[in-house]
Amino acid sequence: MEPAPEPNVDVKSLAAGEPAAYAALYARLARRLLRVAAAMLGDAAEAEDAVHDLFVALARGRERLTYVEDLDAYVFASLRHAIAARADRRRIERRHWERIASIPVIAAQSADAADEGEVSAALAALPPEQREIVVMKIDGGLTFAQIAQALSISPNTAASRYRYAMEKLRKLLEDRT
Amino acid sequence: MKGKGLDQDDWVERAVHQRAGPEPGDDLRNRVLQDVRRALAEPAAPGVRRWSGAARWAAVAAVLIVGLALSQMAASVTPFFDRPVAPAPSASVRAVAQLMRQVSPGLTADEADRLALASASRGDLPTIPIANADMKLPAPDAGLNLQGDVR
Repeated sequence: MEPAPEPNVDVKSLAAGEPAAYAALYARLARRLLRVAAAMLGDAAEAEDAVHDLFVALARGRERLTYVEDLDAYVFASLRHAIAARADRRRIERRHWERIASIPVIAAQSADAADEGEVSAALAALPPEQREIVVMKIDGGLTFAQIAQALSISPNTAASRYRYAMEKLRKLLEDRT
Repeated sequence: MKGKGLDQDDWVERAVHQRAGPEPGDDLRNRVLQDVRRALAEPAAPGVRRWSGAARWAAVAAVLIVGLALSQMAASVTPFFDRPVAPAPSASVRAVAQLMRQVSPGLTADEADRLALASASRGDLPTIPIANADMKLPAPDAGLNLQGDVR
């Protein structure tokens, strides 16, 4: 089934604080943001909180949106901050979690989908900087240029990091099967 | 969002794309939009002001830095404390030496001259009195009173 077309979002309306614009932005990006956050935080509930925090932060800092050129890249960059804040908070609460990498990915996996579990486990085995690019590209649907902007790296770096990650993922999945 | 820009022939990408993941439910949507509305009702956080006139401020800073560097360089090569001291007028030095001997008869003529010269040189010479062999030093147990007189 084809997904519903994503609504267009007017950055000026967001900056002006129109609630309808935020509803449209949510409809457009929520699923992608949630999947990326879940892959990075390894917990669906935490991912929901991160997405919530992100939207509230966007609304509070709406004046900054005036200068945004690529909204998707900006929102995903903001999501990274929300994820980092969540991860920091959790690190304080649970000191034995030293890095995001050590967090198992997707607690809310379908238990009966063994193959999907393998994929998620392999994804979790990637270094966080590679996993981030993979999920931003595949789950977030961002271009390399947008990923580069969100991560403050060059598009070439983003592309090569993605390529290495996919090679590693392929090897991990082949080893597991 | 269906794998925009992905190579659908790549089974790894396809597997990642098709794996199960959380879906945003109505609860999350309601919670987010409700709190967004609340945040929108409050005054916006101050936006990032673009740096205006950066070139002018950079020029001012550069001038200040160069000025400071030059003044420090000049200060480091300027001889402040080795200027020649004008010779003391010998008549007044004599008069001071005589006055010193009147006030402190225990001073020898040489010591009085030396102290008078030191005082005329405005501190360029050490003003520590040198004990004269004829001077009587205080006994070790005599101590000093706070007025500076030797008991």
